[in-house]
Amino acid sequence: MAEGTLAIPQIETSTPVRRFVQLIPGVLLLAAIGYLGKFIEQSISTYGKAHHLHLPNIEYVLWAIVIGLVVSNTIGIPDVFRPGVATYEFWLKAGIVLLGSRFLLGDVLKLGGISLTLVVLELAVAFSLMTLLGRWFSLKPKLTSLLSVGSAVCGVSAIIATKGAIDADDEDASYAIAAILAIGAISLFAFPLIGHWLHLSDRAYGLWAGLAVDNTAEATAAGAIYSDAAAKVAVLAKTTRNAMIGFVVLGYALYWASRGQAQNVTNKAAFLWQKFPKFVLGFLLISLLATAAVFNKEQLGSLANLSRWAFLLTFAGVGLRTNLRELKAQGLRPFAVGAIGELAIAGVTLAMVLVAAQAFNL
Amino acid sequence: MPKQQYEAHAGRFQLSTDVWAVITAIALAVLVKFGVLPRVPW
Repeated sequence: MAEGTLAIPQIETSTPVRRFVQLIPGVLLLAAIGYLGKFIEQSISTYGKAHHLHLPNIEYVLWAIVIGLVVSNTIGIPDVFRPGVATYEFWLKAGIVLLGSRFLLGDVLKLGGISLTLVVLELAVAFSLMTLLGRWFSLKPKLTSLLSVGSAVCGVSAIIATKGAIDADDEDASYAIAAILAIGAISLFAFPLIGHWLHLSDRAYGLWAGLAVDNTAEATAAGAIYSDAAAKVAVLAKTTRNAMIGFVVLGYALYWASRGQAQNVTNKAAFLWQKFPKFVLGFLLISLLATAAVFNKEQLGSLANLSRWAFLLTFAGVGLRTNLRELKAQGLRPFAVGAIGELAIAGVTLAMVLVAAQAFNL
Repeated sequence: MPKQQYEAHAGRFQLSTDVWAVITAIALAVLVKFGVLPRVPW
């Protein structure tokens, strides 16, 4: 810059078109990684059949996640891809709405009813446990609240919603998110192994994954790694859990407001509506239309496949956004509380699911 | 992009994600219903 000149800061205004265009590289990256995972799975299967070899069937889900993990933790994600990679949650939710085509409303009500009962029990166990652990490990109270919400309800979404409602620090939110995501990543590999070892049915496993895995994308992936049928149930169970988010966040907001450490919630109904995950309504709508035979069999098949393609992009995103170095840098204590709590929650929910499986013949 | 900015960006996007996801899924369902979108393979 020449001497005597004044640097005037440029304010960048981003148009909707420009913002949309900025998404394209990252979305293409998600698609490429997802498709590569599918290609590897199919290639191994074809090779095994051609050579009469019994090769292990590693689902495309796992390949997509692992490829994403390797990319993210080796070469990293260049800035140009980041906006598009961040859309993985959008693809997840679009996939869940379209997944409604594979559920008759009666199934939704039955499985949803069982899930809701187990979710309420799981919430009670998770909150009590995490609060206790938070005290034992001397974590800051608001951090404990965030970890409780993240492990009981809905991972990252719940933590972000609660952070805003209880005026928690950014640092605490980062700790909680990092801990929950790290444990979620481990769950992806551990859950299917345990499920197979216990010979869980698709429904029972799906219910367990949906109740115990915190992040919706990871719960979907954990289900899909087991089987297509398990993925359906996992999504339904997780969606039921997600629907509770408004009530839980409101509860915490009122608690911290009563202690003078958060703003009062004046309009509770508006608050609940604002926090309610709207994609659940979309899922119910599509399920209703499918039940009413608005779509023929071929059209239902197309909708189900669109859901699978959307999830493909999601799973690539799950791997890409898991940065092990960043997680490690967050510190061990929140992770320790999260890990111990999650282990206990996973154990309790497994026991509940095994009982429910017997009682309802899942 | 600095980490916090990236997270803030993702968080901002996430606020309207639900609505956009529902709109997109319903739009796709409409395209499938009226035959605009041909059979989708997997």
